[in-house]
Amino acid sequence: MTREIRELTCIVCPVGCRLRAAVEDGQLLDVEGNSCKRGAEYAQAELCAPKRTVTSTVRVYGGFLPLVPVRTLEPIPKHRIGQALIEMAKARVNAPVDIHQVVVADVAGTGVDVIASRSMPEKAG
Amino acid sequence: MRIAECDIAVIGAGPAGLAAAARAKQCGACRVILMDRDRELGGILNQCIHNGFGLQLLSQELTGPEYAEHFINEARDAGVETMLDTMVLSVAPGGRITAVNRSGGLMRISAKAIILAMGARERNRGAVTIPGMRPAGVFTAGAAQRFVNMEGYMPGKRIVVLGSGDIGLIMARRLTWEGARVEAVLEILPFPSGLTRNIVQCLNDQGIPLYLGHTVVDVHGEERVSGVTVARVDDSLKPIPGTEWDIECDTLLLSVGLIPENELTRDAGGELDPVTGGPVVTDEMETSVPGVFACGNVVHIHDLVDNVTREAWTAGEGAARFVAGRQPAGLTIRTRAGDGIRYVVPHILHLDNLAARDVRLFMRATRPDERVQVEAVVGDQVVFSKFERVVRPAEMIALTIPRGKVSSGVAAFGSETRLIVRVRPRDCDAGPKGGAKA
Amino acid sequence: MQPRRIAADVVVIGAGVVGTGIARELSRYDVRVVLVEKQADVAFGTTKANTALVHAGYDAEPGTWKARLNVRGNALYPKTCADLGVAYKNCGSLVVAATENEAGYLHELKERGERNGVPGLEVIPREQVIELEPHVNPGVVAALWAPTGGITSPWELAIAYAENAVANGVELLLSAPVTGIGVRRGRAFSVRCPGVVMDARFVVNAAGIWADDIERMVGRDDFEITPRRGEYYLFDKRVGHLVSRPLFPVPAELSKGIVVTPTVDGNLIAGPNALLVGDKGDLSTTAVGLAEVLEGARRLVPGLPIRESITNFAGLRAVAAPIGDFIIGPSPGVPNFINAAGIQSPGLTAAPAIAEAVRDILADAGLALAEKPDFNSVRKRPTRFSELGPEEQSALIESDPLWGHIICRCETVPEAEIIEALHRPVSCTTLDGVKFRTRAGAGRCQGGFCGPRVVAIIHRELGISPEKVTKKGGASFILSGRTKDPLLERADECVDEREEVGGRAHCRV
Repeated sequence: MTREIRELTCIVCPVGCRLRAAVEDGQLLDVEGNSCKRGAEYAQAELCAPKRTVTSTVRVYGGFLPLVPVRTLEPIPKHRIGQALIEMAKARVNAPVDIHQVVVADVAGTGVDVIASRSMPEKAG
Repeated sequence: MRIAECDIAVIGAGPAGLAAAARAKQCGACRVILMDRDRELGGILNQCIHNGFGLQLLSQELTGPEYAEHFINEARDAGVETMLDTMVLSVAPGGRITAVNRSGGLMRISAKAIILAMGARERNRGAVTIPGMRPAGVFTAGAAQRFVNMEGYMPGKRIVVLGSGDIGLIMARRLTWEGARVEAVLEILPFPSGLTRNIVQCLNDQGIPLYLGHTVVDVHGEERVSGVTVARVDDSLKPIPGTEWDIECDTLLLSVGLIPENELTRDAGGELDPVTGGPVVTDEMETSVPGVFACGNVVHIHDLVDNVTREAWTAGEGAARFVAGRQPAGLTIRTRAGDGIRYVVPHILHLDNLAARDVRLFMRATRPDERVQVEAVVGDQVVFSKFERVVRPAEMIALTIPRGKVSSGVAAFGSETRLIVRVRPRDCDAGPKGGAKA
Repeated sequence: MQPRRIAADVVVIGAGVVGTGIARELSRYDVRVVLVEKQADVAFGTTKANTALVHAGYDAEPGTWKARLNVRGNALYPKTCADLGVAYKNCGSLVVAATENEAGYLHELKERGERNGVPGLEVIPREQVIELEPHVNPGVVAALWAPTGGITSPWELAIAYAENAVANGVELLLSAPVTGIGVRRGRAFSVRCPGVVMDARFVVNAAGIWADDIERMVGRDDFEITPRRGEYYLFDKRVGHLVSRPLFPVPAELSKGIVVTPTVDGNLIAGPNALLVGDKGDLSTTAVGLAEVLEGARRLVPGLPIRESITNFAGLRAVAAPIGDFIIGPSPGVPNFINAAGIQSPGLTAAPAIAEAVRDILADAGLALAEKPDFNSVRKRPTRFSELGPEEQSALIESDPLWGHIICRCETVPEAEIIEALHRPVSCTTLDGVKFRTRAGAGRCQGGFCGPRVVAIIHRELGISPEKVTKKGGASFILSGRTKDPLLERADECVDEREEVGGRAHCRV
């Protein structure tokens, strides 16, 4: 069984506690260095199932700008970010685009959609 | 030359200008014109496609464009008129604006009040004097951000970032996510300039090394950057001979701070604060020129857009009050940065306002510290105090003085009296009231 | 592919202010002139990085080329710049003495200047210096006042020379490095560039810091150019008022010392120091050098605020050894190969006179110079929006709305001005080219705001794709390609690597 100590900085609040977490087989055993309960929860999430909101751009046909910014509707597992970015890189969307329109559905098999984070009108003229 | 008249002219349609214009209109100003030099509203938010905006104010974690769209809609709904692709060339001391655009040509705009919301520009290579060659491939982080997020082009493939400001950190992740390799982020100070959240999610997540106390001492390459020499610095931030090493790269991104954009403030005759680089303002966000208001990064550099919006609301309300002739009169007290505080904004507080409403002060710490009291002192009296678990120069401190805390009887203090804000270690002695300990 | 063949009476090598000046001078006559330049634009060598001074001419040893051509060039400046629409300001100059000892030397300088034929030199007392320059070091003892001193824009002059030359029939080849010169029986007969061969009756070597390399191509090795690097600080227009004319210290051995001077654009420039460098590409600034510049500048103007510096840069002076003077004349043994080499300071001032001198040398060597009846000596100054009054500005925008679309906010440069610069007789395809012609990107933000916008305009107007747009030609690409492409290229390996990176990252915190 592998037991290891992982160090991380809590980002729940501006204090930024340095956490030392003991992990065994992907299970969090113990956290030190946190000054509140949320620190332990953060360590639990970060070490066992870290997730991130991913923001990027998707190419637009006929848009006011050549790209529309996008984000995942919810945070996705960290290890799916690479695949998600590639799917966003491959995607194309036609203008006009509405804000929060789904641009890539179920990105990287996460069940989370990628949505436009602004509206993108058509190119004038 | 065309001439336009309005109640309030707002210069700059970033987060500050948008919120100030909307709020001024909502507070009863008749004609509010919002001008911007760019092709669309929203300012720099349009290129800040990352999330993290609006947590405090809208209780949502939005991206820059979403935050912008929220306030663009609000300004539009309030009936703010907009002029895009419009460059304000000058603001005469009397408040007359000269602006230019394609459709209107050269224009004179007379406004009863002006709100300056031009934001900031990035410190560039010249401003920080990085020696070396002058090849292509040296960008400010914001310029690179525009290329990547709005134009769809990469500034390079192997990147070194100088400065750990938030834009630089965000760009380090952004470029990594677009397939570039970020070799290192260097910070001359012994602590990071950006938010901890960004250090963790933008650097640590991507495995990008952060070198504190390091800087770039040479740039290589004749045509395009081929590498940089970096070195450790001593306590006075001077490179230490013998600590140099080379990093191969094709791009150097600079995230070495922002400079409030105050050319027009100078034009208008506004007094500037040498510490913030922005105008001296009252708690109405009025500059030293009556009827000329300012908010956002033009006043001082913010780290959270939420605070920009709050400040802009104050400016919008103040400008609307000015136009309506309902400005606070009477005595004022000046603020001053005390121990551990680099600056305080606003600089001048109306005693009437202190009596009638909560007044928010923004400030920055001079150095990182933990477990401190941030206190506002008038004379030898602590009028308000707040406990902070941690203060960092990178994170702005807001101190809201509840109404009535500074008594209107302060008149007795005289004109030399200051409201001093200072940082005091919490555990030294039994601190005064305020800020329950966690 | 067969190289293009051009028949020329004169091939001028190097399109700095010297080469363009010579080409423009020759364009008065009925001769076929080709001007070749290895860089992507004119003025990209020493011409773009120097102090931009029009010297009075008291420095050089009497009897030298330097002395003669400086004074003659100075006299030619007003008309040359008026004809060509180039910024020039005859503001006079001061050599500032900080000690009695130095003040004594001022009289020596004055006498030397008078022997060189410099008019109006005068040693003026402290009070008068301070009245002229209130921000000068209050320790000043006296100064040498040179009323014919002035300032100009070197790249404007070179660009104007080139445009006027081209308008008068000169062919200009850019990005055309000379790869060889054919010599037969002691005469140069052809000049080769990639894809081009020029049959030449005469060759003029105005190749600046590369002039020795060019001369070697005709089998001669009469001099060696060792670049002497000078570093500069450029200051914001906000402090442009600190001095009204060039302030020199009493000269040092290697150079005229570190100068503080206004520029014709309203900035302030301080420099140069002097350091011999072996590498002709070494345009780097150094911390030590810049500190030296600042220290020297503050000896003249103690209140110079370093925070108002907007950029720093270095230039290379073409110093020829063993001869300290300009090298002007036929290469020994190759009578139709004329050097205009070793043109260090006061080369910019001398440039109009060098052009005359080279013309005369060519005539002596047998080039028939019949004046062209249709020669047009005038080149109109391109319209600068920021130089106009409100009525003129309004009228321009009425004629074309793009005059109302400001691209560079620091220098108030509208889109129409940039478009115009891209379509003038001398082709301009680079960001620096646009900067030198319009000042877009030359202001306090140094292109941070307008850079992406200028790239887009170059793309639209010239059909160069954004990733092919360069800062200064060659491989100085601004961008490395489109977003998404690097990711898609690496798509397969990417996924695994990212998971690994993510994991590693955790442990690094």
